[in-house]
Amino acid sequence: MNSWKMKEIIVMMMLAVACGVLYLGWSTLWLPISAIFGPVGSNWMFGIWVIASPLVAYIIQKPGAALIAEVVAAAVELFTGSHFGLSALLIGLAQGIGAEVAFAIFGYRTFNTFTLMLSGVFAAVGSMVYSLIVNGFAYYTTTTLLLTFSLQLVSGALLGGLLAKIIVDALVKTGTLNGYAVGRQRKQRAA
Amino acid sequence: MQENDTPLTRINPAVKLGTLLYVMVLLITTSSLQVTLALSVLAAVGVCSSGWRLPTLLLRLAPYGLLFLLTFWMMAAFGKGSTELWTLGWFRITEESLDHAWLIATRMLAFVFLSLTFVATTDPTRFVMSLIHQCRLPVRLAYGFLAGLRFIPIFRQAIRTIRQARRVRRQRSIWPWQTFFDISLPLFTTSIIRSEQIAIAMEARQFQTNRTYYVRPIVTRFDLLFFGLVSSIATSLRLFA
Repeated sequence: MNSWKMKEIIVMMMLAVACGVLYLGWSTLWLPISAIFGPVGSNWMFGIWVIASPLVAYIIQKPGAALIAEVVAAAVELFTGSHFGLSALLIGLAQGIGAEVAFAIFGYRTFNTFTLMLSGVFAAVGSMVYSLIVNGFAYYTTTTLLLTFSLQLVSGALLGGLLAKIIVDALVKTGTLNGYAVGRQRKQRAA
Repeated sequence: MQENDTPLTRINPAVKLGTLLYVMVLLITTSSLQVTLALSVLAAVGVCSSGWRLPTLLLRLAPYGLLFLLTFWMMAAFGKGSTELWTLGWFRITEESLDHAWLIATRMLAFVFLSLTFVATTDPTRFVMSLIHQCRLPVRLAYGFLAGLRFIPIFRQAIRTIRQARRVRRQRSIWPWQTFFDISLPLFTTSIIRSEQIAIAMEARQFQTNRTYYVRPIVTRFDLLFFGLVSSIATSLRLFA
């Protein structure tokens, strides 16, 4: 933690909180859809809930960023009294650990489309492990379970990893990220 | 994020969180409906003693009634089982899935009670301070988090403004991720600019890890008593209910 600059810590927290607020809106959108179409018909939306990890990790590019960002985003859900509360905190922890593993495998050196999407996928795995144990996903029919799981994996890769990549690249173009790892990376490539 | 003044408010937040998480673990590790019901009654006692008057409490709990129905319905209609009771289209309710639905929905409700108990009686600042002193949370992270928490209402307002601006300009997208992109991009841009300002302000005022505290939360005997009492009640419910 000592190698972190103050502004890196603050930007991580602020972006994670912003993600948490966005998650809240996404949850409201998700509830009616899930009631009608069930776990299979609603889980394509899953990926947005893990976007904080790849987003912040890509910007800061330091160990721990993915995990902390997702937990903080989940804490926002707790303190605003979302439908998910303390369980949001636990599932955030599971997703954050998953996302962190993806970057750890590559020694926190590679932050490209592939690793970002991989972190979305691993976050989905973390989330699924949690849901199997806690939310009784094991009681779903095998077809439902497999479909749900594969949808979450794809959604985690696309709406989590890929969308985070697109958003951060758009942010880099605005110039606001020039002082952070992702902005410097871009400058080096241009030079 | 409001704080009611009850005996629960005075308990050390870290101890309180630990106790509630312990009850959650007990809930997760049981698959008996009886035990789950008993523990959710315990959680309900928590909510009732978290200082809300009954009408307010019922109003706060109403949306969670919907969540209960939703969880119940998802598990009942999409769960596995062999004794079929009712089918319609892709919905298929069986005896087994109904049993599981009761279990999971009750568990969800107990989680909601525990979360509400925590949120109603815990001031976020005291909570983070207690994490610094009792759980050795790095100071810079903690203060960064506190700064972030201040921005929750500001971000919510910003999202509302962006959505209204989009509506005025008739910018609509049928793809939800397009909408997400359009809303999040300006939100993230402003939050990055703001966070840079905050970081500079903190460093300019000599914010550092070596610091003194106006209030230093401690674990009192009352806290330990609370933890001992609740955890032993919960454990015996888990074992004997």
